[in-house]
Amino acid sequence: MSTEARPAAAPPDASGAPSAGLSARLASMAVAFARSSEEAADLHGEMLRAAAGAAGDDGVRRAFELCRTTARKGRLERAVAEKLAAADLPVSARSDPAAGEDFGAALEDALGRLEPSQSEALRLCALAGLSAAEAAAILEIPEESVRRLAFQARRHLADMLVSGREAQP
Amino acid sequence: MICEEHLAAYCAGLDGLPPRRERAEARRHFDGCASCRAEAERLGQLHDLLDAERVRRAGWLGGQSVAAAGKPRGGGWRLATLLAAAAAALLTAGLLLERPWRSLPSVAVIVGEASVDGRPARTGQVLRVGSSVAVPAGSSVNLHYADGTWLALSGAGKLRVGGGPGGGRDLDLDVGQILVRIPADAPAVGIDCDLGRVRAEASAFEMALTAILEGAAIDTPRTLRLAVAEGTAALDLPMARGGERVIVPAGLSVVRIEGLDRVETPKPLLSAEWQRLRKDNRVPAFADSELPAEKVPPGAWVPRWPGRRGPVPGSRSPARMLYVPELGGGLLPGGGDELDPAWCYEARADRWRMLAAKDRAPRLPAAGASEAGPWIFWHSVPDRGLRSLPLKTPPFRRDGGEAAMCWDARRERVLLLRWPGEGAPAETWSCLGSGGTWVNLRTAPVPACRGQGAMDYSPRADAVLFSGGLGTESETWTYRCGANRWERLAPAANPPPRRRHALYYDPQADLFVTYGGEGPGGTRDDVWVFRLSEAR
Repeated sequence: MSTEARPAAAPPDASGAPSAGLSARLASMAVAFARSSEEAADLHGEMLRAAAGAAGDDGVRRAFELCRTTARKGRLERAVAEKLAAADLPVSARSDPAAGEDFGAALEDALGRLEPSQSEALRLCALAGLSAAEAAAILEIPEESVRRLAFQARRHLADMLVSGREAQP
Repeated sequence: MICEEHLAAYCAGLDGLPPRRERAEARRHFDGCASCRAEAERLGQLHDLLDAERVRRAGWLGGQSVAAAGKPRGGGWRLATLLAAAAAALLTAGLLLERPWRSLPSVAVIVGEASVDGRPARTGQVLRVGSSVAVPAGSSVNLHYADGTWLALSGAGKLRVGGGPGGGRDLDLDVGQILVRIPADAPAVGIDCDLGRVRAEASAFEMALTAILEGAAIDTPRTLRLAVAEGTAALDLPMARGGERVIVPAGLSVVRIEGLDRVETPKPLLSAEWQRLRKDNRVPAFADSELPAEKVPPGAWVPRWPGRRGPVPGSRSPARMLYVPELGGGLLPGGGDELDPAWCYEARADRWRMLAAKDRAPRLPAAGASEAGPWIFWHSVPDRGLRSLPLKTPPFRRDGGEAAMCWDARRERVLLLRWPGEGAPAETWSCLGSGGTWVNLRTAPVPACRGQGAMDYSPRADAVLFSGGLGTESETWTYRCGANRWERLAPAANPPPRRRHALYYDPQADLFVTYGGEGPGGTRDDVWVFRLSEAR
């Protein structure tokens, strides 16, 4: 992880709207948790609204809850899709694993099989480009825990995506 | 520290710089721990994949996500750690490092309608170990590994991606033709099939396996063909009658026909036989394909092998190509979507380039359009791009027959070679630009084939080159515009017989390029070039 933590999120301007720096940071988090560009755009908009008016990292944490909700929704959709598939019922295109055969879809599928804490840590560190310190501030856990969770997530993902084995979290 | 902790420090380093002490300790540990080295390589490959995904997602919000869009991180530390560890291990233990991440294709380029595990495949897809790839006729799958190894399954075929730390980079070929190129410093590749196994390193070869038809008798002959262009390939047939092993050197080929009632011992073909097969175009002429474009001699067809340098479009018929100066090569129009992209062939570099979405041109009747449909002729003009030229309806439109067309840039006219019908000699016509009158040039002799050939014009030689077409023989003709005369050429070798193929002139390379079409062996994907001598 980078030893240079980014400065705390800039406060909102006089109008209450998040600064450009904060907006970019929320955009990074949105793309890390969304499954498509459309979902990322929606999520980013909601995160900006949630962060408006809050000071410093409070706004980021408030916005992060929306990322959590998005990830939870994804896990739920996958679980429903698996149950429908097991019952031989039609699965909607959105939640069908076959809808995305590329690495992005495989990654989302694999992340959905991890412990939520592991996937959150990895999304923030590896996909949002945040340092362990920044991720720790958002997740409100020690920095060392972020490193440990991200490491565990990487090993499970390597099993699933590199070696083609089933994950055993 | 235990292995887990060293690996955790290594992972932390992938996203930045861990403390110096941890870095040094991890490096020392990897020197002596082969399993950690292998695990670190595996985690490193995952890091590469995540990094690529991070960069891809950064584009979702129009570049707003600056943190996610940064440069790949941690590469230097990772590389330094692994290189130091690998070097130390090689020096101390003399061990060859296992590189499991190299056992996976870094990307698969799909052309046509291939499927992976029964689902439509996508270009750029990362294949997992165990993936089953099926390719119908007319499509191809190119697998590119991180170390430059390239495999292409072209035409109807099926294979399964092997790999993993123990399995190397093995493939199971069920049926089809596979071309393989393994760089000198890359690990070996193994291809298994039910007739045997080919294993090769630092090599280039072609392997083809015929299918047993569904419902056919069990003793239906099944043929394994192996032609080696560079290096050597070992063919093991332990399950065959009288089990055997054959080392096939470059320039030789073996054919094995297997059936309960018919077994032919594989035999290396003698040099003379190889030459005969080469002459008959029954094996690829790999050696000639190494010739640089600028050294292609006048009056000779020379095969190219662009697949060694990157993805290729696979076989197509009908194929139409047009030289576009802005692209710096020949445009092979696509269907406008991901599964059927447009390509550009750069003759000087002998390389295909897949065009970006914005460059993808719709299918268009390029030079050589037949008489079917409206008489709109497409050609390219330097600095002005593709131009469509509506032509006056020719007097012979209702006569049917087959035609090949090209643009004579020097005289700004369309040249057309047509075959009125069975038994009638071909006719050469010209039309001066839009709205011009069609004139029968009354040339003799004329190419003897019966249509579906292709031709293009070279301003430098002030001549037209014609090749292919219906018929069993492969012919090459040239039309000298100044002399108004067709002449049959006698190059040492002709491309395999083909029709409905593409042929265009590349002024940068001063070469005619022919690609695709169909012939006795099915739809083709090979590229040949020809240099016409200057006007006499």
